[in-house]
Amino acid sequence: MKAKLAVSFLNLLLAAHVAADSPPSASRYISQLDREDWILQSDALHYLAENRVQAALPPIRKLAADNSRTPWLRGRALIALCKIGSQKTPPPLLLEFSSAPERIQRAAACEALELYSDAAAKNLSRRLISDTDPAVQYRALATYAKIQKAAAWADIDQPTRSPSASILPLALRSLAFTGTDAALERLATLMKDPFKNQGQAGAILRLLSDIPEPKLIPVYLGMLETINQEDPVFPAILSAIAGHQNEDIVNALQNALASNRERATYTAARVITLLLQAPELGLALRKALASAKEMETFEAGLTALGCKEMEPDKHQEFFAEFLDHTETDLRILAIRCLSHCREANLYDILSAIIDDPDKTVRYAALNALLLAPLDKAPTGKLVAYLESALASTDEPTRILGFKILAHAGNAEDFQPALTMLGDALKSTDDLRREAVAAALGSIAPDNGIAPVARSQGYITDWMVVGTFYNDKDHEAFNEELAPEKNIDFNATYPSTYVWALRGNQNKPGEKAIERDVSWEEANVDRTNGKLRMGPLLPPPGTFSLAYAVADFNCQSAQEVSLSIDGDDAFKVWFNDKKVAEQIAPYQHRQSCIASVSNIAITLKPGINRFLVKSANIGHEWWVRLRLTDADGKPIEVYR
Amino acid sequence: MTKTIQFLTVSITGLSVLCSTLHAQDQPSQTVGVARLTEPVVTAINKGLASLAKKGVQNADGSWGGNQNRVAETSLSLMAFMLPGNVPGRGVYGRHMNLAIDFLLNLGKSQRGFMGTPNNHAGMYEHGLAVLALSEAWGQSKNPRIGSALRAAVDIILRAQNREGGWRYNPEPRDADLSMTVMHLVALESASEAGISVPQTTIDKAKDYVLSCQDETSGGFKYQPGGGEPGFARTAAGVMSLIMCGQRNLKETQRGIAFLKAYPENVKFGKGFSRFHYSHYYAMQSMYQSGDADFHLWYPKISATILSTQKEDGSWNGAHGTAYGTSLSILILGVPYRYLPIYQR
Repeated sequence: MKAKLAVSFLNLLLAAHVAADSPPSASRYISQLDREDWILQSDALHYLAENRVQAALPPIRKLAADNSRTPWLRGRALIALCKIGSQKTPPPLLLEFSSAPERIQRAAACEALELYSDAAAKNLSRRLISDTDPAVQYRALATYAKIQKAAAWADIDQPTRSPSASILPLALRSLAFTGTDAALERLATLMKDPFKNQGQAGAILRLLSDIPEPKLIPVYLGMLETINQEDPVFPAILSAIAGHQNEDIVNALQNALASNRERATYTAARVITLLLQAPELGLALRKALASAKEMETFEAGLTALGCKEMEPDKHQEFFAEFLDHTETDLRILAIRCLSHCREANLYDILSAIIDDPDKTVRYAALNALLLAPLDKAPTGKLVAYLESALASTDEPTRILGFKILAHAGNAEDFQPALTMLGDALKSTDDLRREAVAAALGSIAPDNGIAPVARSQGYITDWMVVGTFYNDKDHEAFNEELAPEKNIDFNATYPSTYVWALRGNQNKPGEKAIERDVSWEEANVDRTNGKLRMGPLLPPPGTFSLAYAVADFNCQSAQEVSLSIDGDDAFKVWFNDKKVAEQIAPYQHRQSCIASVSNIAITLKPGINRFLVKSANIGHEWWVRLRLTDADGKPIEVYR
Repeated sequence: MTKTIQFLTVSITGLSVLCSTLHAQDQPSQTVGVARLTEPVVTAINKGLASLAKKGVQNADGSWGGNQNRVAETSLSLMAFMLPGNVPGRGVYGRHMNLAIDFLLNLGKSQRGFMGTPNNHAGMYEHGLAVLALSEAWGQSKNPRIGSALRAAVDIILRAQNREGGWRYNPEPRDADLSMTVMHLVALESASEAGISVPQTTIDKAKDYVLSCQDETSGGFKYQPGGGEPGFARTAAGVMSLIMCGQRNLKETQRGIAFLKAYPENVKFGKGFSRFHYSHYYAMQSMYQSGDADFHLWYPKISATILSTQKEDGSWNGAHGTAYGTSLSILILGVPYRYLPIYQR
């Protein structure tokens, strides 16, 4: 017990003096070596070995030499010791383990032996090939092959002809290290053997993944050819390929593409897409695709060439060849590939396709335009370009047309768009009217917003004043405040506000803050006609109310219909007569929209006036008034 | 003369003070001059730095703080030392700063460029802070490892930007929030200033994300675009990041500044204000960058609060540790120093 305590204390001291260049968790893992739990101990050994923590050598050496520990843990300690020690020749402890009665210790010695390549390591591994235990024997075989490479074939040949399932991974590792054509041919055969490698593919790949032999890559590619992408082994094989140098992978893929086998082309294309986008493979892939027959090969090839890292601009013409293909899926894929070409002028290339009778192709083309560089858009002519889409009877096509107009259009496109779509603003089809207004709003210059809103019958020019404090029960909303007693645009009003944003609850005792407010001019700044109070008035805009006045001129008397909506509450007077009052029930953090439609009012010749009292507890705050005639057509009014 | 009155004497040259509060619609018209520090502020900063450098305060590995936020506290402390012009490797604090830089670099090396404290769920936040600190240190330090570490760290940030343009807790492009996005936007701006290549599209997308977090009604900023309420700390962070992107005159930025100014003074300048250091770290920089009038209104009040909370040993308490409170207090007080590029107007 005392000895253990002393060791623990020593480890604690070591942990406190870990070198500055050790990883940050080194101290913790050194301390962890003292834990009684073998899982934690082996976890610590692995970490310390992988990070080559020199300060951990003394406690690990003790652990490896400690007879009271299990042979397996001692073996792990030996391997960690050899990894960290980085010596050129096997340490005495390894030699001791190689002759140990416990086969687990001998196997660990063999595993550690792989770290060395000198004559001592060679002789020791050669000796252990004759071990009585197959696990030790084949582990030694792999180590020997690693040191001797092709020269090991004479010793490797016989034992690897028909290895049992339990030692198959180690046998394959030996063959991979040997690296001769004969060895790799046998390796490929054994890996394909459905009986021997059943369920072992993962373990085999893990054992091969650290072998840098480039000749293994074609073997892996061959394996990929025989399985589909959903096979759980598929990602493991990709990982094994990924462990090699990019240059070697590229060479292997070049060879696969040159083999003139369609399955090899398909596999190479998938590997390019999923693992290594090497632009130098582009031409080889195109050449291989020239002789392809299967749809899936073309799909895989186009997908690979369309990857952004494959420099798809180099293959623009190749993609364009598929735009007229008989297969819809290939046409769509070609469009998507073209959308990755930064230098392509998609507006030119797709000008005919955006009117294609096949709507899925049309959608793909329009969606591709949403990704196209904006500098390629036909500024000022975009509306004409999109005419068929904007006027399409197919709603998704029309909506995509509006989206492109909003995305790629600018102020220069506004007037042509207004000319073409202006009638829709007066439509009684509200959904179409609102969609057109939104598209126009996104490209309108500042002075273009109000005309679009006004065309739809919205009141656009206002004077506003606020904020005034209004509690959650709308007490002030129900009172008559100074601005509504006498409208004087030159007046200044004392007001208060309470900062009660958190929880949107007006907590008792919160201190009111005073400030003066006065009338300001305001216009609606969205084509949906909403007068948004927040941006017009000082913060915070919660528990607030404000007044808005709109004066406008009429030539003659006219009976019209007034619609009002707003968030959260409004009172509206028309020519000094109250015509509406609505309060939407409060909902925390949600829109609370009140609305009244079809209020009959009569406009008089000369100046008419709307006075609006708008209140807000929290969240959004806006109000909107719209005038229409008896047929629902909008009526435009001007200040 | 009381302390408060003393701080009101912070002098500002080239000043054209606008006494009225800035209305949201007003075009910014403040002059931008050079602010100077009073003697008590300089003394407080010096005492604060000395407390960070005191034997046993900095850990043996060069970091400050406990296990939880070690990178954050180290990055902030490093910046606090650089703030008044201390240079890594030179002078009284040169060794402390070199150790701090080494700590960050070693951590980055052991984590493939990622510099968040292991197992800290807000590690990505720390990563951004480390990038900010190292970007500011690059050019001052002779350590040749900073450049490559910064490139690797910035690459992680670039790859972790999500589709909306923001960042969140993990180095992966999944979700986003305002606080984390601002941290990385500021870090990227700083790295870009230092010479690391940062695509403008990344900055633009991040700026758009910040703008999407603005509450339409109040002009304050929310944690995420979808919902929640605007808050002071979030707004300060949002405004600061927009200003760093060159959007000082944007209407949305000005609305954010109006929000900060309208926030009740007894709350925001109070000692018990929630997220005090975080909030005022961004708010003070925002007001400094906003112009002399805003700076003049703000600085005396916040510096008075901070000086009144300094402890005898020169340190300050903070929500995430003493080094956190001390370094951020120094960074807030020392905004008028112009040695850190990020603080320059």
